[in-house]
Amino acid sequence: MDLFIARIFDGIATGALYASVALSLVLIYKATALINFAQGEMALCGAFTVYVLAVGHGVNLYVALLVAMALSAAGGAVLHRVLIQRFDPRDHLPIVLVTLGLLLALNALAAIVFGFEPRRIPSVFPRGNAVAFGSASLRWYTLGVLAVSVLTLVGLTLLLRRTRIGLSFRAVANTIDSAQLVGIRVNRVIGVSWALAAAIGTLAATLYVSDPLRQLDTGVMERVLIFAAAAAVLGGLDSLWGSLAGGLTLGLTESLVIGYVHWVPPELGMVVALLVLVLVLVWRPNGLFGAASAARV
Amino acid sequence: MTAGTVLAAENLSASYGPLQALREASFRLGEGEVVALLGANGAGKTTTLRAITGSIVQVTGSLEYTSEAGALSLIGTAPADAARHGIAHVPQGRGTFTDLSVEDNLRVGAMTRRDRGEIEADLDHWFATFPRLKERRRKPAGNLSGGEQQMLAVARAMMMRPRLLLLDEPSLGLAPLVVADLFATLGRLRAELGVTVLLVEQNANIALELADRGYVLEAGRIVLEGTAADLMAKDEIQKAYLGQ
Ligand SMILES: Nc1ncnc2c1ncn2[C@@H]1O[C@H](COP(=O)(O)OP(=O)(O)OP(=O)(O)O)[C@@H](O)[C@H]1O
Ligand SMILES: [Mg+2]
Repeated sequence: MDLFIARIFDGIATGALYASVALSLVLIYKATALINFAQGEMALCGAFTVYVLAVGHGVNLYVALLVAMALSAAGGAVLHRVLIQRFDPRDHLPIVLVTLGLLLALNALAAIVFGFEPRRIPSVFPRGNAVAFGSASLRWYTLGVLAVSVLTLVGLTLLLRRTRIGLSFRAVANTIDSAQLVGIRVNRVIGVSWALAAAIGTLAATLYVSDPLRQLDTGVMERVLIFAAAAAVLGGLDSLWGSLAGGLTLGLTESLVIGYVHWVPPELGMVVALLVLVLVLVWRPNGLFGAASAARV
Repeated sequence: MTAGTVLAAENLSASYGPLQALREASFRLGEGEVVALLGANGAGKTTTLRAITGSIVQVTGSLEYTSEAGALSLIGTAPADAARHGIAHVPQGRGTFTDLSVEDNLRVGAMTRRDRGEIEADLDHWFATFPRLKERRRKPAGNLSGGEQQMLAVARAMMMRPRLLLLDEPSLGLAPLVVADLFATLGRLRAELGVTVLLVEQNANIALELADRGYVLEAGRIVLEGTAADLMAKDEIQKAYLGQ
């Protein structure tokens, strides 16, 4: 029983982080109906920035994280401006290819600069356990990442529902042509969503590798991106809260299947997650929370 | 340009790649006028509106627009800039933000404005004008009927407090009674608001009842122009559009 609880907690922690990365994918997907495949590697660069600042230069970890998020936001906006904006947002294939190219380029860049040696980022949350249940225990880390994911989600929801930029964003997400005709500068709005997504990605990646059980290396985000993309699809791709549900579902499935089904080696965790994805999509083609878009007349 | 002209087009041409859809059209909209732009399917009506708001890129000729701030050329401006100069374009098919609520559709129409209090007042005004929209203000706009969506499109455009309103076939796909209702409302609005309107229609009869003047497009060229009464009396119009 204790082991079961421990596995649930592990699943929640990992799932909440998949959800945060999924959120950054969903943000750009909502604005442009595109998946930014470079999102994971952008976040990797953000996490390395935290490492350089905090470990390399002795900057306070939280300051380093905030600075890295701000730099990522600027970087996201610049990447959008330089690489993406030149393409018509309605024409998807060139943009998808560019984001795939960016994935490879950023990964190579990180490898050139940092090599393949794994690094450690200090824990963002207090080490140790918040609560113990018998021999199982709820780590501060698990509580922390869950809280951060939920707060990010609440913050984004308020931003979209309550602010002017949020309204422009929803208008662009709905129909670009009409958004232009009411005077919205569509590229600026999409640029802002790239900036936000990049900052959220950096936050999530840093939290992911700041788990004392994990390390920062150039390969770490590939796996996270695949789970996050699956979580986003599971949640319906355009639903913020759906990405939390999707992330938690996948995190829990991964943890429990690997924990209990002994003939499934840990390396196959990803396959199990994708299997869940396929099953859910067969049952609900629009994902758990995806709204079938209202009739377009 | 004469005083009181809002828009003057000279030899305006527009193409989609090799296809020239508008050929050297010249027309003029006076301040406060309602001008109808008539023509059959594919005549180039929508293209004309797209040329004005910059939604089509290959445009030549001159397109002089006079806003309160002064005269400027609209050739090469982006759609978002046209809106910022006070040109509201209700596209063919209404351009509803289907996933947004009815209220948010109206708010998004005021995106170029900063005068918060006035925006709230205008919102109330348009809900009073169209009570059906008020009843459904929190519903997704995509759930409205065609006629309601057209009213919403007009109100959304007016939330900009435009100087020039471009309407692309507002009657399209609506039942005759709904069309009559819509045009009655447009008639009231023109008296009330004094906005200059370029009204694209295939339904010449109803458009000319509302308009002061009109132009007729055929295969990208303006082939007829005159006051609404003159055009209504013309044989060509009667034959081509009124089935008589
Ligand atoms: N996006 C486009 N790409 C290529 N050709 C186009 C495009 N839009 C319109 N055309 C062509 O340009 C010509 C004029 O089209 P336009 O849409 O301006 O006509 P219209 O008068 O608005 O017709 P309707 O009453 O059917 O809306 C037509 O021959 C049409 O096929
Ligand atoms: Mg048309």
